[in-house]
Amino acid sequence: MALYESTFISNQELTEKQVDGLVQDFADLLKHQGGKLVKKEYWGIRNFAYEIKKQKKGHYVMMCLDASAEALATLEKKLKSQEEVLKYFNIKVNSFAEKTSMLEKTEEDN
Amino acid sequence: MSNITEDKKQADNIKLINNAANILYMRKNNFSSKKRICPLEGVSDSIIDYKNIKLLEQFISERGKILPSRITGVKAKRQRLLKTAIKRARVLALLPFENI
Repeated sequence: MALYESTFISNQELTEKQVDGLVQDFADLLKHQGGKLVKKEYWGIRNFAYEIKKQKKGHYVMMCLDASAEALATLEKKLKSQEEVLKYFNIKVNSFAEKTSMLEKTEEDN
Repeated sequence: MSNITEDKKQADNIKLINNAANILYMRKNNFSSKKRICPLEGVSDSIIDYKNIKLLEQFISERGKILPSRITGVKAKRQRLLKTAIKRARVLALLPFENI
């Protein structure tokens, strides 16, 4: 088992609830493979620095995972096949930051 | 004759010593005061992260290129960390590959 940070960008046309549903799907998939979702961070709708699939904005979600390499591979397959997911990025980390990252959308921003 | 050459030698020696003293003086007063401090001095390495966009933005040019440490004065180890962090942020479209 190793720790991973998995971030994905989904279509801006989705609602926040639908994005939550996506995260739930991924969490269930991981659970099936013996992994688990440790933490979830929603960064809100952000403007891209460049266009991705002709889109200029999207929902950013970061998931902190504790899973095996095989479980991550199946998650990656799932992320790739989801049409709503524009882009994803997984990295292995030694530990998760205790504080929420600076990108996390707080109520003060609204 | 020998006296003259001796005198000349001595004079040269004094000149040399003076020069060396001058250089030392200059170094002391011009160069040491200019010693640059790393802008990331004293911060923990963990803050250099691909999610910390506000920090990373200070180390890229207007065009989106990574600034060399020769300009920013960042120490080599931190420059390497910055490099990976900026490249990761670019993948997620948090930072641009290039600004036109």
